[in-house]
Amino acid sequence: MASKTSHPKEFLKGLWDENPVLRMLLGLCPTLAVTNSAINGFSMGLAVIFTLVMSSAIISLARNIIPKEVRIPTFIIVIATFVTIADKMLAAHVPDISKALGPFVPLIVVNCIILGRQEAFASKNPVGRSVIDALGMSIGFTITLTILGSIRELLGVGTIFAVQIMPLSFEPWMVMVLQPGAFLTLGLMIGISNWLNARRAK
Amino acid sequence: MTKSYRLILVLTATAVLSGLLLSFLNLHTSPLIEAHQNKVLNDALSSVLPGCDKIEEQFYENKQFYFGYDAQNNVKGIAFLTEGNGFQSKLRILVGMDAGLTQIVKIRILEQKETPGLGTKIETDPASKANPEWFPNQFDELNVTNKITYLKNQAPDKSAGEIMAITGATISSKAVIDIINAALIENSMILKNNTDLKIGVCPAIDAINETSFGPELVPEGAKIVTIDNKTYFLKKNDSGSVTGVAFIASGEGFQSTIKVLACMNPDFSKLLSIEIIEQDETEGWGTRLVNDTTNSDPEWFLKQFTDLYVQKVISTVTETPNKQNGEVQSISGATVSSDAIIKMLNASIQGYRATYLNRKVN
Repeated sequence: MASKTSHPKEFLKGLWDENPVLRMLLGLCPTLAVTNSAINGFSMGLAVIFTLVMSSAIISLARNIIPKEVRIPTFIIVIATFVTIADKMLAAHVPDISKALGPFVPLIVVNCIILGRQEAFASKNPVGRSVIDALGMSIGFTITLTILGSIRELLGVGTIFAVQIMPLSFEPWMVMVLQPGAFLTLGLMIGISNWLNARRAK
Repeated sequence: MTKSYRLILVLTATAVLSGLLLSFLNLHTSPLIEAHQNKVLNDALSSVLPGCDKIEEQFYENKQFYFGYDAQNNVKGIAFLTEGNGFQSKLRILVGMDAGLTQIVKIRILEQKETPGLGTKIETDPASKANPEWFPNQFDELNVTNKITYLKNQAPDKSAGEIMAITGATISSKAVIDIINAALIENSMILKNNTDLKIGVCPAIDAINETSFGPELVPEGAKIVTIDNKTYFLKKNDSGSVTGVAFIASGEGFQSTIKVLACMNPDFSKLLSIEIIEQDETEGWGTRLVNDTTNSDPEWFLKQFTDLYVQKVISTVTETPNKQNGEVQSISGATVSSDAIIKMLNASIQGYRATYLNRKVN
């Protein structure tokens, strides 16, 4: 069931129409957990881009070899391999970011966006298309997480990417960098995106 | 049947390839990760054991210690890693101590994942632009002969082992304190049993010297300590707190060297008593210092010094002396001898007070 959509459209759907966080509500666990600052959200996104693109490419290449009965365990092994690579590379080369992301990088293994894309797309489409789909999805994820992290960091600490934005007299809303802030912000972002879509549909 | 072979083959091949790839990756990353961890640890070690020429690892009872040595190869400080649970994460803390484990030199929080913006202040507090590490810095030079305790909203006293807790992160603050307290108890036992370090003894008290004055001069039950070459006799009560500090003052009298044992209260604000332990003054005149046969109380002169306040210098008056003001009367006919005592007391109290009060507390 290779879709007939054009490549740019395939890419763009991940950014908005099928945005994994805002539209499909996938991968919410890392979304909520790591976005207490813009840099954390952004680096989580980068790790997901790497994992998703690499896994999609491999799975798409091997889509005709992998028997249907063992496709899920095979996907998981491939994903886990790339997650481990990402985790080790982060720890070896950018230890500060690796420390900040903590246990969330290994948890990309069970991030449903990745398994979802393998199952829904890469296992049924040629490599090029799969990579474009993976790029669109993971970049959409990254942008969403970065915006979410920026809003929380701005209101919770007064900075974005550790750059002071708010006046120093601003009293930080501590709740924004805590867990409830993640739910509040994500809920509002989903609400706004639904509202925009509803307006567009009219 | 062929189908199940294919299932097995694909899954096995995937797993084997994945394993191979990861082991090659590990060859590349593990030395880097290890180097980074060592760098973090070494940086932390040199910050908690400052000024040490060399730092060596030692194991006692399966516990790891880092010994910092000075240029003369004396143990200058000891550091150890300790960990425990904070509010929501494991805390790993590197604690640098003096060689007697009586004072913390510095601590470094190596690992924590506490509540962002609250518990993370145990490591850095971005809200405090001037001193983001105000919480860990409180442990610098903290006296730990007693347990570390925490306070809220009042100025802590380092010599009493007090720390100010973080508002909104009391549990994290308390966790740091509890983890260090527990480690101190355990580690000082281990070091006491396995090394000949003077654990629990302040390093500023450098030697116990019982021979410089004859043992007969040592007040009964007193502990002798030497601080900066000054000898003190510490009198302690049953619970171990110092109730009196004595020292020997000496000076030239009229015709001989006079030695006086002066006993003071621990904050050096007043004399508790003095005793002349050596003099060879003019018989019948200067000897009135100790035995004035012309007075109904032959020891009246020395008794003037009992409970004499010495915040100011001791002075002589002719009218009735006021002990609150540090006033005494001299002996008429033995002015030189009695003034000599006052002069030597004034001089030695100053010197002994400064050294004693500036010592490392024990």
